[in-house]
Amino acid sequence: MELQKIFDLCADIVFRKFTLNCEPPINAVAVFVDSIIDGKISSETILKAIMLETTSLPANVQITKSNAIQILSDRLLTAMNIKDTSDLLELVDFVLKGRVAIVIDGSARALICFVGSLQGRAIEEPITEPVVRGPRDGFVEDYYTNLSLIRRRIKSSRLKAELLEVGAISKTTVALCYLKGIAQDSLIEEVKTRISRIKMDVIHESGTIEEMISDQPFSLFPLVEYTERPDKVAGSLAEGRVAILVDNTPMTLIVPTTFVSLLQASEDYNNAFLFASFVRILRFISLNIALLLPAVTVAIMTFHQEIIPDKLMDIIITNRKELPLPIYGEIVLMEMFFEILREAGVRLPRTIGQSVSIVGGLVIGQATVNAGFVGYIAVIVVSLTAVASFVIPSYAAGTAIRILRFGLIILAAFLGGVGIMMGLMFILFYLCGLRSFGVPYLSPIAPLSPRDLKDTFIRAPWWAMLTRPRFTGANDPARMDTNQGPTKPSKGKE
Amino acid sequence: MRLFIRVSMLIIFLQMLCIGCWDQRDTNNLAIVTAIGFDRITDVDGVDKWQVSTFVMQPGKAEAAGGGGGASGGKSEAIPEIVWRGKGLTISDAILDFTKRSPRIPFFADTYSVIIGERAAKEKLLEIVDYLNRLREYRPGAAIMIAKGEASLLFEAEPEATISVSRNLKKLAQTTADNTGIARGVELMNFTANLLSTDRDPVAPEIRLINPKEKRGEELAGPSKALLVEGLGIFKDEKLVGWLNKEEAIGYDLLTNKISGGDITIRVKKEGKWFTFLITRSKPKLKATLIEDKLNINVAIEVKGRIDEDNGIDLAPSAMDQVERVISDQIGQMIIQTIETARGYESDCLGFSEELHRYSPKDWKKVKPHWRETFLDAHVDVQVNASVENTGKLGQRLELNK
Repeated sequence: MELQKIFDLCADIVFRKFTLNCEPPINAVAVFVDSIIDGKISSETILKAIMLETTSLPANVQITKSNAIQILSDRLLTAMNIKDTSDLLELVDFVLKGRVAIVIDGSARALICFVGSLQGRAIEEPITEPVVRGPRDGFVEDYYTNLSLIRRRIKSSRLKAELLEVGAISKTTVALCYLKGIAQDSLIEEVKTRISRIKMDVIHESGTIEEMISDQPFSLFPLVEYTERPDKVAGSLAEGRVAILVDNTPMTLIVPTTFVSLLQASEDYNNAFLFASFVRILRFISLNIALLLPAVTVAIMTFHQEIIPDKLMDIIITNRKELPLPIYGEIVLMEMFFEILREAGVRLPRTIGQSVSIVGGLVIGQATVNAGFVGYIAVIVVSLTAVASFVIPSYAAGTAIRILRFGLIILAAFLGGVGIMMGLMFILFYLCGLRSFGVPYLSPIAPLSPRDLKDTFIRAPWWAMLTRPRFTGANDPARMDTNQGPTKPSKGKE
Repeated sequence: MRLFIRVSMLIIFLQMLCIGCWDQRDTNNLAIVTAIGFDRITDVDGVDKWQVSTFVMQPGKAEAAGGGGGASGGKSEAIPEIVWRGKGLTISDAILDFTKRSPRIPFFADTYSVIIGERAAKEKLLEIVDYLNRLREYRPGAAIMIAKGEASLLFEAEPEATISVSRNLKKLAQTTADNTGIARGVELMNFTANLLSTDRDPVAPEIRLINPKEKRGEELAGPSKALLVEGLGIFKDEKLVGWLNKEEAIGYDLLTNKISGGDITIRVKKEGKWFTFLITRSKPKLKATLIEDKLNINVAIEVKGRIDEDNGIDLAPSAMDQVERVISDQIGQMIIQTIETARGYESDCLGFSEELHRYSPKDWKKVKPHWRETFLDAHVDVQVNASVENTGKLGQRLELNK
């Protein structure tokens, strides 16, 4: 048989032969991948139905080789989703995707039944994006479950999910989600074109797709955002953005992305707006600390001592009197140590990771200072910077900041404050030039769209955020009715 | 275009390598000068020279000295700062004189106090101010003080209530002087501006060394050399010409400044009894007019203050009018005294010309060529309106209940 040749040496593919209970008996075979289908449901809805229920057919219905397919699908099979095909390659595809194919001897067509897949990992709280207030469900590996999590949040027929298949060998399912009428058609087309252009053998993860569809392949800053929070995806869809769900990973891509959106946590929208605004401002300050504090320290301590107050100067000189390295050496060294520690903590199993951080913290924080390798100032600066860099919600943006920080330290060591200004100017030019799917990366700051500033440095109360972002939601800008904010109570007649 | 970008990137990169670090100074290679003094001296060889004295911070010693025991009378082991002195034909030469034996680079950005010796202030004031403004680490907020006598002697003083003499100096010039009214802190920036201005002559607080040792039983206690900022030095044509004493300095303060903090203490005598009036707020109003080529100056001062003790004068609200009148008279006399002293030195440090310039520029232009004479002939009218706002928590004098 042709099929057996195709599936030769595939241990997980099962050919279940059985006989249709009729006169004369017809041989049939069910083909499926044992490891990815739900065995109980398939035996219930397919084999049991075919083998036991044939007797309960009315007397005038006679199964023959030619009408077997018709009768099976119309009268016998109780599976919800059934399809028939005459194409062998399509059949192979479906079998590999976890369907059960029923091939009947002497019939040119075969039946394909969807019997549900084996349950994957349960829905858990997303590890990389925990919240204090907000839903606790996170995406899982199975894209279908993920789709259900989004569908549960947007119960509208306008939520479209288009399936694409990427990867010549891996045949990874990629689902394109958007809200019809809100997301711009040109954007949807562009995303589809870019994804369909990917000609690869295996898609490893959504990161592969991210790199393949990014506007600027060499960009330090992420031009595609990823998240494992369904509420964040739902919110982005409502703003007119497009989500790309990739099978076998919980990391869902969102395009287009702006720099500001990397600093917005989904929790901002759940918390009270005053507190959320406070946190936003704090985050912008931390961003600057994470990027600049070591460089500014180096610049001040090597070139611009004039701005250190005399009492602080006393402390600094006392502390740095007998140290072997200049301050920039110290800071670069400590930053490297910190990055090594961080990487080690991430890679190791969680239990060992803790001991690494304790040992590292003790050794680096305490012992190096006591031994006189580095001063307290370098330790203080590096640890402040490290803490500040973790405030940035997007991990990818954090990595960009980390790399730029080293560049700025070196510039500061060479040229002092002038060097830092030069570096910042280059970064600003670069950011201004970036675009993510046609949307300027620094919007809504540059180009300025004043309405969208309500959700940039602060988070305005919901009743004041009347419009969707200009660049993605221009199709249908109104988010809500106006005048829902607080009003003076009308003076009663009494 | 591509080639151009590549070449320019290469040039920038190579330049980065070439920059090196020659402009950088590590903080621990700096000798931080916290106070500087300028003197003109006649050296042993009979040549007039500059003498520059500096306090240089000894990092780390300040805490040790402060924690150890400042009460031991300056005999603490750790010295928070050392004194460096140098002589030379020019200021830079004098500074080089001590820099050449120092392992560290002198650093003037934290120089909070500048002390100018009496002779230097009389002979070469402009050169010092020029030098200070020319410094790379120019500090516009540095306090200028004029030493009575030689400035270098002040560098032998002992700190009182602070850990180092330079901190002591800074506090004296910036806070104490302003709060007590017996002097007024002057910043280098304003001093320079007034020195160069045609409208106004500068003043600078006077600083001198005193010996506050007192007899306690058999032994002498207290430091033998302490600093005191009291009175003001007044200038005319870029030179120190004279001094205002403590009372006149208070008069100067009331005339030129709006006072809103501190306690300026004034002794007042009423019916043979002394009492003290503490000024908490005052606001001067100057008006200069030219009537038939004669300068008329109207000074009206609003003074508000309190009386903290009852030395036998009547503090009842009904008697307050009288008390206030006495106080006003007293303050008025002080102010007239100040004006007369300033006129005696022909120094317009009170800002009368500035006032005229502002009030009527045409008249100012007319009298500008012979301003000094006009100033000396001016008719001054002083009006003081003092009011006692507060006599403490007690309404009546404490008396024995009979």
